[in-house]
Amino acid sequence: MKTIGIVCWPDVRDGVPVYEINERFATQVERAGARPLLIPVLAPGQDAAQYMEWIDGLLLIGGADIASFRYGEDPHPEAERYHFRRDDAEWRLFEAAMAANKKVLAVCRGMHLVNVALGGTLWQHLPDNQSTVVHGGGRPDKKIPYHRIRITGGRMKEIYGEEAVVNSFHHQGLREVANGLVVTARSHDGLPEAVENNRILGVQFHPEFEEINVNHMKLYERFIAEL
Amino acid sequence: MTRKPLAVGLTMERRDFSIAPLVWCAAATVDPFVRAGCMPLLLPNPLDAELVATWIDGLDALILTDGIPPASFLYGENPTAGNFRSEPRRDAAETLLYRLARERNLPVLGIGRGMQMIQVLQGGKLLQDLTIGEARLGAHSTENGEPIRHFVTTKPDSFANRAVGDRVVVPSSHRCGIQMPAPGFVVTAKADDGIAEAIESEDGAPVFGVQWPFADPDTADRVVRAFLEEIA
Repeated sequence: MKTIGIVCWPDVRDGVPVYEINERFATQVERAGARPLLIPVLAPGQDAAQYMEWIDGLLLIGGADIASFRYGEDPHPEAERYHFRRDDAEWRLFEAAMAANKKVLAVCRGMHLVNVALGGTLWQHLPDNQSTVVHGGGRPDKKIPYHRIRITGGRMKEIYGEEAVVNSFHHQGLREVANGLVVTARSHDGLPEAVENNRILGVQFHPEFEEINVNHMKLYERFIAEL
Repeated sequence: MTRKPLAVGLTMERRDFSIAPLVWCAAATVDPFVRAGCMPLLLPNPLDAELVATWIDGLDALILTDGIPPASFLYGENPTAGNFRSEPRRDAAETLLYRLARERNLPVLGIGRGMQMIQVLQGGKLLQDLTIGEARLGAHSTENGEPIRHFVTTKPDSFANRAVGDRVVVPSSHRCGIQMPAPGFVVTAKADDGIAEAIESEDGAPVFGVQWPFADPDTADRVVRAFLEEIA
């Protein structure tokens, strides 16, 4: 049985700091036939490579903004509070996964992290890209957190076809796409909604919420089949 | 070349929220294992026996962590008024994890709720509400869930004694408690009101529990170090 390492996010629950995930990530990995293993946010200096002996694939999930310093910018006035320890932990786990020849499924913030780690940049606050599509974050009044995406190739096309409707809850997005990543889906304003290469599959939307797209399970199944 | 770190699997609290169910483990529970050089893995309440077996086969120790108490149904009682909340999926997952761990003699440490879970799964019962009745001393929890602190006294030559010495102040945040140990277990530390604060197996099986949560780094680190020495 293949094992997917899922990196937890830091939060505060019942007044105490915790390492946490949306349980659906774990149950979806199980339904797709693999074993979910949760990795707590690494302590500074804690070895990331030791986890690679346990996992076949790494799942990086959503959350707060990545510190803009990682791509050479000062913070935007609308930046959400950074979590430097989480950035450091996920960075080192991603690099350890690449070094150990593992595959990576990256969701929302996870896709942003992969892009920045490989040399790309982000839109720090999406209204700045003159978007004609509402992407969610920063618009608390938004009633319908969904939009269409156009799919141009890769695994995305096999899973979702040429057009899909996906959920959307983000105020940052990919600006310069890193060398070595291919954009395989975009929203109708041109923002990258999926990036791929032979070891990475990144999506901007949230497959853990299956309410309007019945194909999200196929994303996990496809990722796991390649491990 | 350093020794390969011990892989310790920690169980997780879970709760349904309006947007999604969440699972988590307190940083204060995980971090002492990192400080002791272990590799912590968090187990998101697996219910599939085959899957659980693969975990148990790969781990060096199972840690049953703190959280809301085991459902009273597990020891054949209806809940009292203050003990109505339970988490069936977590209870079921820990039952499976513990059974398979015992079958394979995998070391187990129970922390807070985890010690109560060992007690219940070994056929013991819990006092459901330490804030009422004869056991009432108001000394084990507060209304808002913030830990209070009290003394515990340990039994000589026990795991608890090796961990924290003869008498120590520990954090405390539990409404349920243990008075009589489950068959095959002994109480190795008590609060001054007689409530059990640590248990261990009578026959030397590597199963240990402490009632105090890992809210204070000092007593948490001492328990983890003693546990790792027991199972070395």
